[in-house]
Amino acid sequence: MSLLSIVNLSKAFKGVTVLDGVSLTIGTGEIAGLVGESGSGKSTLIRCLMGLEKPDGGAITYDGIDLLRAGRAERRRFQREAQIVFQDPYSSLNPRRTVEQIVGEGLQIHEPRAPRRDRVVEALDQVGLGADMLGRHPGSLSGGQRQRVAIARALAMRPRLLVCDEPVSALDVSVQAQVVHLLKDAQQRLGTSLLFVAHDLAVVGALCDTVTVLDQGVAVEQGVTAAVFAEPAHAYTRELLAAVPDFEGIS
Amino acid sequence: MSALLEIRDLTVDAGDVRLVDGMNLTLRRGEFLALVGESGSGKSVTARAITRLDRRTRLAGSIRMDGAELLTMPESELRAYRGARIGMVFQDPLSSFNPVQPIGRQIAEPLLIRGVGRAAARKKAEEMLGEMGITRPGERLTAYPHELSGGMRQRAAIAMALIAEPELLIADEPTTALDVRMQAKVLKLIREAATARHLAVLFITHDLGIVAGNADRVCVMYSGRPVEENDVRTLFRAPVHPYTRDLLAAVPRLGRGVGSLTAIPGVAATPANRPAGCAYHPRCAVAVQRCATQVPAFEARAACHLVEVPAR
Repeated sequence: MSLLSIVNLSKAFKGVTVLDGVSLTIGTGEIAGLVGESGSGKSTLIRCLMGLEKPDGGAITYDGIDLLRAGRAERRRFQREAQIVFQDPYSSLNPRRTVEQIVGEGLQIHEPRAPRRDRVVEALDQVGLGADMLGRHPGSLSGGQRQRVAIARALAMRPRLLVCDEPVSALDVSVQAQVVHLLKDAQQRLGTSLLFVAHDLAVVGALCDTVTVLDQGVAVEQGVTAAVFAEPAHAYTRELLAAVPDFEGIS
Repeated sequence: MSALLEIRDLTVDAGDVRLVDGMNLTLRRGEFLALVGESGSGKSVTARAITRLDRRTRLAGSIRMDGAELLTMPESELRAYRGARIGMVFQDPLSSFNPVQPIGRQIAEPLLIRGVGRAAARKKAEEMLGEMGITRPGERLTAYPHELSGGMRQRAAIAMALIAEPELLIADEPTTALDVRMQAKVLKLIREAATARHLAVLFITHDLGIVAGNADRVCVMYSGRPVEENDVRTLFRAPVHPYTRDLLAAVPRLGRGVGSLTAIPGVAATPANRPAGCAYHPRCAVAVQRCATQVPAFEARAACHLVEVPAR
């Protein structure tokens, strides 16, 4: 059953088409990959989905809610159940707030009566951070720790949909793998659906069930990741795959 | 082949913090050497020490180019190296250029400074842009940096670095800010330009994938120290330092699932709180007692207490 379905989404800025009839569905507990270079429309698609941008045409349906025409209460439910993790953990966390305040912010807004500290500690635990982090400020954390705080902030809401916009590209290699495992864990243990946006095809290949390749606002290829990578039908996909560094020739 | 660049026992201090702690490196003409490490490993600091770009750091040890000591050389003499004998390309091509001057003038600048005539310098700048695969290079000379795409800007920056025919090219993460396809293209251009000129390349990167396909030799750094160095095939096939092995296992590769991706526990040691002994020992799965107290010497090909040094 699909949790999210995007149909024929279009968006233009000042006459320039950025999204040209893109469709995408994510099943419950599925990890969908979205791949494309800068200018392909990945971020615009996410912004439309999260309600930060109003699309010109098309439909977005989340668990039976027509998001583009949803009322206040339905909109609020979506905002509670869908959480986002951004690329840069240096700009996505408020430097003046403590980890406890950052991770608990969504609960404060959406579930004011929930036992906040318990939920925050639980979320931190899910990303491998201890309760000793509660009073820390982002400034004292490494990039990998910050990104884990950002993921904990999302997980604290027990989201059904987790949108990740290039969550590992700003991180060091040794830390990237930690974060990829965390996301996989969230999907397996909590049944969370993921929309994973990336430009690194190797990560997408390892993590995502399905993949959509976006080129200049058009979804040029879509399907089960293993099948698309094994036999890419579109020239653009083949080019992207060819550009992935090859270790096999050497090791 | 003789060594073009020899770095011996280099230390770089900023305030009380030792950013680089005993770096050794030899680079020959025509060789493509990748300096690999995570953020804070000291790879960029090492590269910037060669031309003494950071005035606030204190340098000690020795950096020789063609026998001449760069560390103690007067600033006026060193200027003849920067841009002329040593070309540099940085990660962010936008900050490599003056935003209010056309790129043609800037690409030609290393020649103009050295007294080459305007027309000749302009012609050379056009040739260089052409070599970098930029179509209609003559028309591009009058463009301003902001009018070019990221990939084009970076290629213009490479043209600027190579125009004075340097012997050494220092490239500090030149492809990191680029899209995947442009990365591959820019790498190929650097490779080809280097081969054509028999140029020594010091390529700084955090990306082992880039290293695999391009470098002749690799030096891996961790927390300001070199931990392993070898030719690229041997390093990838049979890494000996635990950090190199863990790093290779942490890189996602096409055709492998999440299961084969092994994360390194803990956080990377920063120069400000470098652990005693081998800096990697708190994260190392095979560390023994000695690793926590004694800094391992770099012998043969790695700095690790657990690596057997072959008998000579």
